Amino acid sequence: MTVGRREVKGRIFEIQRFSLHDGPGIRTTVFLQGCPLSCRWCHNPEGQGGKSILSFQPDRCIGCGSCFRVCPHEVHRRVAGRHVIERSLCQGCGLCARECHALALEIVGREVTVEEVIATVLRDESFYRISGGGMTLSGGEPLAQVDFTEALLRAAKASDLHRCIETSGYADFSAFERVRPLVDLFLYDIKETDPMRHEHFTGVPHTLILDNLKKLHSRGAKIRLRLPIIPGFNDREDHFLAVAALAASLPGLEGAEIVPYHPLGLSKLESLGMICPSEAETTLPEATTIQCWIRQFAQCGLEVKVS
Amino acid sequence: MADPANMKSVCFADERTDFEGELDAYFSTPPLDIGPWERDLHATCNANPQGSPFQHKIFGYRFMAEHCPVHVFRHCPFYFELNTGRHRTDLGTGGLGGWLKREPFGQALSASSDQWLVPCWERGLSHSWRVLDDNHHTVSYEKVLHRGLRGLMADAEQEKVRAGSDPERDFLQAAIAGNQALIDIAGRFSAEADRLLEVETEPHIRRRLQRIAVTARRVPAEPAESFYEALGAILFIFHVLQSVEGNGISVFGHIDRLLSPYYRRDIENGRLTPKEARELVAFFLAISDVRYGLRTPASPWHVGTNGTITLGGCERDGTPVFNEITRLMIETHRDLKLIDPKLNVRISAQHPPEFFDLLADNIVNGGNALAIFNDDVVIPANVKMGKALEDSRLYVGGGCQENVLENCEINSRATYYLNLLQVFLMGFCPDSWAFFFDRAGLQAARYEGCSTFDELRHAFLANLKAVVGAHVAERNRTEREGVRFNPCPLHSALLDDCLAKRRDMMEGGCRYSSGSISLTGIGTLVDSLFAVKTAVYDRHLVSLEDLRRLLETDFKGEDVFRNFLVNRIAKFGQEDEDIRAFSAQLFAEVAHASSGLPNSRGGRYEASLFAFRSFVDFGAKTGATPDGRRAGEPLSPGMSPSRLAIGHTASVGQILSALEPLDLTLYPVVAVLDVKLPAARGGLSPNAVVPVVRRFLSAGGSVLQINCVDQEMLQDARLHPEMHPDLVVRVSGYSSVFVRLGESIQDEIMTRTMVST
Repeated sequence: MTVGRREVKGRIFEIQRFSLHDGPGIRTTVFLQGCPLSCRWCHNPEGQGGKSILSFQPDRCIGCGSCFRVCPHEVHRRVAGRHVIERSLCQGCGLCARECHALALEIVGREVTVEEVIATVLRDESFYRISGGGMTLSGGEPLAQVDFTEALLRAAKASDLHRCIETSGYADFSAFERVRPLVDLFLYDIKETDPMRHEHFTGVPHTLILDNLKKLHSRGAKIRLRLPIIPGFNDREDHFLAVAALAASLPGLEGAEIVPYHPLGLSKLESLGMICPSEAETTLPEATTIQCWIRQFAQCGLEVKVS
Repeated sequence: MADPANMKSVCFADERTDFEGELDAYFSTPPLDIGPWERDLHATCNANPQGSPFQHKIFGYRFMAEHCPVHVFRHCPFYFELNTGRHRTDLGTGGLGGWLKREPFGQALSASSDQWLVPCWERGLSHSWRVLDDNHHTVSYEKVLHRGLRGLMADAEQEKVRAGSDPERDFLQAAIAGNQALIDIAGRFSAEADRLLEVETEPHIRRRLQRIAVTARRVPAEPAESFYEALGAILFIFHVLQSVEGNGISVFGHIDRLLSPYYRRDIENGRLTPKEARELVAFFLAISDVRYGLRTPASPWHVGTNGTITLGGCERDGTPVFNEITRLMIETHRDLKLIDPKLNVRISAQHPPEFFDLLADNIVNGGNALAIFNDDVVIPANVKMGKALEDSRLYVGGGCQENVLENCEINSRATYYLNLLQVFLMGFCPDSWAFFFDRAGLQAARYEGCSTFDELRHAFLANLKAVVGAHVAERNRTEREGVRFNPCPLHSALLDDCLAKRRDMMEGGCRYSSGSISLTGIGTLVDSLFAVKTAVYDRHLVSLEDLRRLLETDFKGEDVFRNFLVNRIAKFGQEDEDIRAFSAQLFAEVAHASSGLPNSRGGRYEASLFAFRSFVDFGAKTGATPDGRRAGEPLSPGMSPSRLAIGHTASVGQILSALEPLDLTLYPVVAVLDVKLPAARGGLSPNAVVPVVRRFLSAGGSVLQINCVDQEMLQDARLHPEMHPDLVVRVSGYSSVFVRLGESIQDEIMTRTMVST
């Protein structure tokens, strides 16, 4: 049975409207769930897996106990007066979140149709038209759900919206080939240029990422490099030099922008019951540090902007 | 005016410190003791007990023109300060100019007004100034500039021939005397400048004083002939007229429309350079902040509602206005980082893109002192009230945003606020409002026994009509006495058609004599009624009686249900089709219930939704509401969605789309929407603001206030996170609601904002 393109389903964890930093103009960014990488600094940990995750924000909890009563799996327990969540038992069914009127418990990640997503995106259509913005697919890794991603892009194209994808680059090139004609601008992450470090910090080798980048470039795709800079991980001169060399090898790039690390992911990790990497930075880089990175890149011959 | 070609241009930047220091030193001294003068005036009246209030006003005009000191500032090119003993923060209603209100008759009227109003305020039902609105007004600057005060006096003289009664003759005579007083006062500025010149040695100040000495002998008695004279005439009228009349003016006029011809002529004739114009505008604009002490830390007056200038919009024939002066005013205001006068900017889809860009730039780089008016809604709204299209096209914003037609309208508003939620809650407990209904001879409708939601809604609307009616009746009772309380023949002479009708503006002399009771909390009201409909009538989750108990106990022990009301029932500002339809109906019904009643001056009441501070003040006195709002929390401001409604999913697009189903032409005195935009790293791009303004216009909004998030707000959000659920900040790579972030990130953003602004 064929499914109409607009009925294609996929998993997302957020739709961010009035987004100003995920491509040109005012945009709506759709965050798709599921990512083949597991970066230690990931700021969207809820986007890593492909399942619904229970998020708990204790400051909102009013202690009503509804979740204790409705959970069929005894995930919620009170231990010494504290609300303890036994995540290994959680099936992500969402019964507790439905009863949690204080919104302390929420299910992050849901299955949606292309139709639903596009309806939301189109609400701000006038913003895109005037500002030169549009829709950005981010994640997670959008290409990990290539059917859904392709269908979203087609639907956006049908409505004449500008389309960006923010990608880790880690996908079979056939996925790139499917979406390439539908994408106006690729926001392509370069996280680490040292092969050993890349694998150590992201969990995957970087050869595929670099190969895909070169192939995509050779086929004439419009690409902007996105450079997350994470103190202690990749704020090194040799990395900056390697990035600059990479950029130089790709003439006609639509610029490069650094994405300063922010520790928002850490508070998310806590609410999602995930473990915080011990070496993670807990503060944002100072404005002066960011200016310093920009200068360092400039010395390497690469002009970067700040996302 | 002296030949500017020989005049070294005055550089505001170099002189700003001296200018501000001089004005601040002058205005921070305690007000002049006017007690003896006022006793003299009252004695004169007592000696003439048969004299009409107009004749009494004439005594006052002459007295002030003779006795009140004029002050010329060395570091300012304009003349505008007549010391009538007004307190620094007075809005033109006090000082010697308001002396007649303190006659026994006026005092008795004030006291009787208080007797009615105070209990309403104590119960959080309404808030009002006594007797009438003696502020927020404008004058026809156009008349002053084009005809001069002598021209108006000639008009009054002509009308005297036609006058058929003593009151008419008295009125016209007083109008003449008032104008003569202003001319005499201007003459004294000239003499004062001459006196200062005797000792002044600084060359550029000597030139300035010489110019004042020459100009004040002629302007505003005669029509203004140059850009400098036009600016000066506006300032003079704004400050001196309200001091003398005891009636507040808060509008500097539709200033780009008024000034552009003078500017162009001077530039063409080589009498003025753009740089000189910029300097003059800098002085013109910079007076307010220091005069009202808005930057003085100890000032008790923080609200900054002292003056507004209106820009953009259109001419009488509909031609869009956007010219050199529009740009000059907006850019100078931005560069000087001023608080006051506030910029009321009128715009429509007919304006050129450059105007939108200029506004966006001001929003991103300015000090949140700007309101945007949608001409395509505000003009038709006024036409709907029976005003001529040509007149409606010349509206200006008042002290805040409440509009008024320049040249020909006295619209009494922004002094009378009504708490919609207190009216709504009445239906649950009408007996506790017996004091109000008994004295009005009315009976409150009660919700008890309403078997359908429509019955309940109609009960609410009946109460709203009754409460509005009672307030209007009381206002009419006191306002009717306005012509004895403080007739304003001078002010009247500067408004059409008082002279032609030979009637004071206080008794209907103006072409339009509207009034408005501004309604507070409509967002919270929509949400509360919708919650009753959903929870009580549609889903039977709670009985009306139980809901009443929950509200009375402020949801004590019922946190779950309160959270259900807050988070699980649709609210105004959310993109739910049911609430959109519901809000459209209620906005219309509320407008109809609060408009159309006649006032005492031959005009009618018009609907409006602006809040000043009432949403906080009323909120503090209002019990819990069915939207889940706790007792004491603020109500929704203006026509904006409540904080509970925009909650954790704030998006500018979402808030603007709430406008689409509404017909805001039913609110001629405007409905104000507040939107906050994120402060991005390195500043928000104007490119992101223009689409917001355009969408506001196309969605049918009335007035928009955009705030770029500032430091103070961030600090407040740290202390009171529950008050700022919609404060969106750029983190890095994407945005987040500020109060959801961890402390260290909040710290960083606060530091960042402080650095970057």
